Amino acid sequence: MSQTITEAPAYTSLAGRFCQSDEPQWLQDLRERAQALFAQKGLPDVQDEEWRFTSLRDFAKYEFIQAEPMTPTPAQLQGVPASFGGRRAVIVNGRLVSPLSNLPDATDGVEVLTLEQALTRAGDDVRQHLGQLLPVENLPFAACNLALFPQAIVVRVAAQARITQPLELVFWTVPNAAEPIVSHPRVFVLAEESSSISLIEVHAGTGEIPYFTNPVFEFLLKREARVVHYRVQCDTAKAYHIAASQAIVHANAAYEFFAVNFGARLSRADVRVRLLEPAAEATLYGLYRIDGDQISDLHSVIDHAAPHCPSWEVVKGILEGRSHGVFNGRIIVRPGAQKTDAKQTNKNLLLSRDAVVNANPQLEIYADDVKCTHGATVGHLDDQALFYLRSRGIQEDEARGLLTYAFANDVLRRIDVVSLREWLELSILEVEHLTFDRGLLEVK
Amino acid sequence: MAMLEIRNLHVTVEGKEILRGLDLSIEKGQVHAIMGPNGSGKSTLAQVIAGRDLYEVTEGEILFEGKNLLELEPEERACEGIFLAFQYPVEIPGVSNTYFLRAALNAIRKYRGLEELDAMEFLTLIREKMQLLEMNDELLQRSVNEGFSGGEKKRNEIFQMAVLEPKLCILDETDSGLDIDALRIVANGVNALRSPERSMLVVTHYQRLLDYIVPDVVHVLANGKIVKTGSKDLALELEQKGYSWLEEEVLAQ
Ligand SMILES: Nc1ncnc2c1ncn2[C@@H]1O[C@H](COP(=O)(O)OP(=O)(O)OP(=O)(O)O)[C@@H](O)[C@H]1O
Ligand SMILES: [Mg+2]
Repeated sequence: MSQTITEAPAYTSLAGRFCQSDEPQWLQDLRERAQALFAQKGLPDVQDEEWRFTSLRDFAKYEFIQAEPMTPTPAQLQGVPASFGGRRAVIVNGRLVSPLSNLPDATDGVEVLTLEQALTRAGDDVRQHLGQLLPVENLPFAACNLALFPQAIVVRVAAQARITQPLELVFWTVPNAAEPIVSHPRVFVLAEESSSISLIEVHAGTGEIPYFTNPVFEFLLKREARVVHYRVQCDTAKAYHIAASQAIVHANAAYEFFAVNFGARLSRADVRVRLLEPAAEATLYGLYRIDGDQISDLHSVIDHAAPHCPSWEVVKGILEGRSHGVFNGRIIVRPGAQKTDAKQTNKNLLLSRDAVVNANPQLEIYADDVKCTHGATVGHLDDQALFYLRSRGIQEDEARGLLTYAFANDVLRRIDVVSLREWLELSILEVEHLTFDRGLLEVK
Repeated sequence: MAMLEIRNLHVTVEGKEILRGLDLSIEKGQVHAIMGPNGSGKSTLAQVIAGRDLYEVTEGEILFEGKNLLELEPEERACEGIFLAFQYPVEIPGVSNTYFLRAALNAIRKYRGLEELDAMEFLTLIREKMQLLEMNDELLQRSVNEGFSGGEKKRNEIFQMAVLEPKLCILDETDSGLDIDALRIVANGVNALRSPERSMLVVTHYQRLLDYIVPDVVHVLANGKIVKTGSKDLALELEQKGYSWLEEEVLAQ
């Protein structure tokens, strides 16, 4: 019995939003267009090519209500990951909570700004790009975010500033006790010329009630800027997480992205990178580990719009139980984007018999002098390797852990923020039982 | 009591019977060599002793120091003191040699009720064993066997054996792929481990290894059985005459 769920849910109507009426006209216009778009299209169903493998039927059962501003009690903040060593902004239910944050100040070379502040600092870029870098025509949830986000956060890295400590944006959801809530975090990162920063985006929450997080990130990397973006999604087991991001990369700038997720009942991320000018670079690493009935769906688009741009993408999935992984990796090479060098790899490790993976590379090449490769594999732990380890005295569960670690380490070892890497190793790989000794573990 | 006692062992793999009633007894302190034509079941025997579950034991028993080995998991066998130097060592990308070796050593020590070694003690121990096998430092920091040459892999097997100090060493064609110098080094490593407390089962096709590691007993395995047992001279005879005369002899029986 199939049920169509294309109708837009009531909670997405503009009436429910908390946006200030004193917002600039350009933004009000954007919001109205986005809202109309979403109302017209509604929720995607599996007939939609982009949602073929990921059904929203469960999701559609809930009437999520907009999260209201709140100040969480200490008990509600139990479980917020400890700082990874840098400045941090804590965003609860979609709104920045200053007392919980440790924001950088102007002398740090990076600022975390509200929309009004950002309009005075970098008005032109904000007016031109906020809400516009990521086209929402084919991203219904991003359209919904644009219509309804309660507060935009603008991260601006000053020209030439080399920020050595990572900046953390921690999105923490504290559900309402009675009804499932939705939050629409919205971030615009403006990396000025020759700036450099690492940004850690963490999504997590608390409680037993389902919630829905719908974040949208936009990045503008000007010439020679360098941004390393770590995105960790470890929402609760009942949460729905649907994210979208877009990076626009100018000449000689480099955008490096790590998408790591192990939380949420359903996790979907639409990750887009546009290499707009020559010698812009994109690196995408994905790592997810899911179990039970979890679904993890990553749709990436790397758009080569200029010549001489390299892109490198490695996505790895570890699946247990009856979990379901989806990877759709689209690479577009536009006419004139000669000397493009794009490489995509997708590897999946199934730790159970019932886990399922759908992997789909999508290459669209409109230039002739390019190098594009892709490969996808799905496999189990190597029996021979397992026996080899056990034949040396290593217990079976430790041997499995070690091989799983090795699989994931291909991505994890590239994370430069050591505290983040260690936290991920512990949370994703549950490696406590491996006698941990980084020096010995590291492979040269 | 023999250290290893195999009685009437029948083993099948994927429905095909490979070992067909094999008997073998190795006393403590002895070195036995097993020779035999390709495909006769030498590696099968070695892997079955180590506990590879791909092979199904349909009949017979294997006793190690009087214990029923077939009831033990591979890791328990290793902890009891069995070590197999693989004919084809396995590559494990992403797991460093050092980490692997320390995990193995500590697992075995723990099983035997010994303290685990800390990083310093461990490094001191492996330095010593590395010298014994003239191993390059750099190999240790790489992933287990990944990108090692054939000879380096074999040397790494014996290096692991030297570190883990098993009671029964099974060497499955450790000599194949070694150049002349490496053969001497590896054989020296093996000989350094010879002791009245330790037994060895050496699978090989060539006399040249047995020039270094002189066996107490030589067996010929053919058609899934030990068809002939003799002194070290039997290996020399096989080298000269091949296996065909034996097959005739066996058929004549
Ligand atoms: N996993 C397997 N699946 C199917 N057949 C197998 C398997 N392993 C071994 N065999 C078969 O069992 C027989 C014995 O193989 P084994 O490797 O024990 O021989 P061997 O005596 O070690 O040979 P060699 O001297 O070439 O190393 C061969 O016919 C081989 O093809
Ligand atoms: Mg063999």
